[in-house]
Amino acid sequence: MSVPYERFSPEPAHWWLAKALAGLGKRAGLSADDIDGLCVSSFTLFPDTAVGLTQHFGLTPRWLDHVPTGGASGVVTLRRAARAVQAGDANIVACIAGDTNHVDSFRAMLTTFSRFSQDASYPYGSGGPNGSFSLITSHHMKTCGTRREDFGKICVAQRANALNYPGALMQSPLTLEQYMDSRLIADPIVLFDCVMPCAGAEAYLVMRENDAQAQNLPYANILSTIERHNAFPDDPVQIRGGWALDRDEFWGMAGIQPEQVDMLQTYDDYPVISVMQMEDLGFCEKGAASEFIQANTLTYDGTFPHNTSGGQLSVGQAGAAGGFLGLVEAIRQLTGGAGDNAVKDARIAAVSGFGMINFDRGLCTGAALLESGQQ
Amino acid sequence: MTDPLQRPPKKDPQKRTVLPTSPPGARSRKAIAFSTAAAEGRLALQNCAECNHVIYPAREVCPKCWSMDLQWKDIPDGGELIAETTLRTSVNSYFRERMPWRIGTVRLDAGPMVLAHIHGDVGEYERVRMIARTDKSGQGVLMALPEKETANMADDKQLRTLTCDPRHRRVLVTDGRTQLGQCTVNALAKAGASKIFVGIAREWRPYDGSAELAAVSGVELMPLDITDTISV
Repeated sequence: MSVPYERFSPEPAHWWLAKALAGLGKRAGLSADDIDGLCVSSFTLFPDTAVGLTQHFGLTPRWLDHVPTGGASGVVTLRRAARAVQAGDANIVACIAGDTNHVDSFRAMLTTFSRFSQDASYPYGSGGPNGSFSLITSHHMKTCGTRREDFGKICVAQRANALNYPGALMQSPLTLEQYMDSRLIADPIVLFDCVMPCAGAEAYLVMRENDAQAQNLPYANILSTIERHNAFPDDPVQIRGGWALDRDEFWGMAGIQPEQVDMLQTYDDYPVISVMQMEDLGFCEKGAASEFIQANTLTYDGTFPHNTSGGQLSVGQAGAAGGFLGLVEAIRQLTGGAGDNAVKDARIAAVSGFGMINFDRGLCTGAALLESGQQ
Repeated sequence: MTDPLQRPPKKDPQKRTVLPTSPPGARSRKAIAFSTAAAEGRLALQNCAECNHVIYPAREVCPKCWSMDLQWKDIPDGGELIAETTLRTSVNSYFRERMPWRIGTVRLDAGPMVLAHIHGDVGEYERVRMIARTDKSGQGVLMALPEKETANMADDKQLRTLTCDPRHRRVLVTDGRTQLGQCTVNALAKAGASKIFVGIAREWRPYDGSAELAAVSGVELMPLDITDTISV
């Protein structure tokens, strides 16, 4: 369930989360009484957490979690909810992520993002993630040979995908020339490398396969998941993420190979991080991403469908909902819910998450493999 | 190459004076010790008393051995610039007024990776000399300078926000009657101050050095008695 994003909203995060939950309930034919597990991810919910939402939304769950892992929140909430259901702690879990966006929201978030960014990052130009990721991008280009044209190809393909996804905030076409000529934000990052902060919400349900079938709900199965935080802390500049540590378990648990994946949804706060996920998950070798990207077409109807609704770069980044965007899009694609951007014969999706640039690197990583369920 | 500092253009007196902005000044309690040392011009970081690990950013516990015994010690100032960028935009008004702005990742010889302001004469992968100074918020920040002095190095736009270089600036010396005040005025003139306002209390009373003082370039004498609230 994706609530259409808005650039700015006078409503609080609670409103956006409520819209997602209510939409989910309506779609699935479920009410507050049916939901006995709640998992929430949001940056602008203060002074509330998931706790306040139980009373606000009229829920009486026996399992509750508030997940602060930013862009990894999709995969992380999926893992938490799935274990809860697996262990019998809950039957039907609603996972919701959402944030509002006021004119000063982004700046306010940066000033209070983390203790380390307050002490050691924000005082240096206050460039925010643009500054930090420009260093990572520059380092990746020098170390792994990725070029601006490769990042540009990712952005252009995602924009083409977004033009077929009505929920995307960006609805004008983007060419590689426009990308290469766009204005510098923090060398070498340009305007089209940056997501647009906005207000929005995403949500999905987790339950036993039997229950989904009994209620005639379209569903996907989890083949495997991984999660890791603060991986490779001694790498001078972030060049890889936690996925590289647990990659073998990821594919081994699922019993499949990267070639069998029909689409990849990466967390795209910046194109360099999408590239890092492609490398670290094993879709290409570290240092061979440029060739991989040039050898493939990344649109929903291409040889390697990537961020098929446009990713955050074209849909928008609705705070923590950005961490759910890829997961919800994957579920949508695997359950016959995608529209003009549907990936043909989609059976297996890989979803990757990344988040929380605490100081100089993203700490949270995760990934999931999903397979469309038998109806 | 740092361009030598030019005299700033005269401000249009009919235009509203722009209010001063400030770089971010919030720091955790432990991090303030870094600022205290920087105020003295010292580069100091936490050192774990048990395993000697040098720690940055400031923490409550050693991330290697979990000792809580962390001591602030001066560290060697060498480092290597690993990655750098030029910010073109910022959410903070102070920096937005001062774009573009160079920052970068430095690997300190002492161990930690740090984010720092970068002097214009430093290139990527070069050796740097780190300094810790207080910025306009009064808090300590790191800056990477060229290892060896370069031409007009002090005139770097970013470095000047961390120093009190008098060049092309207007300064007030509150008491020009004393030897100390007069020495200060001479030193400021030598350092290139564009204007030096010198306060003289009870100017009708003669004092040593008054003729030489009035002759110093850029000096403007003015009646000022800082013990008198009306005068101030």
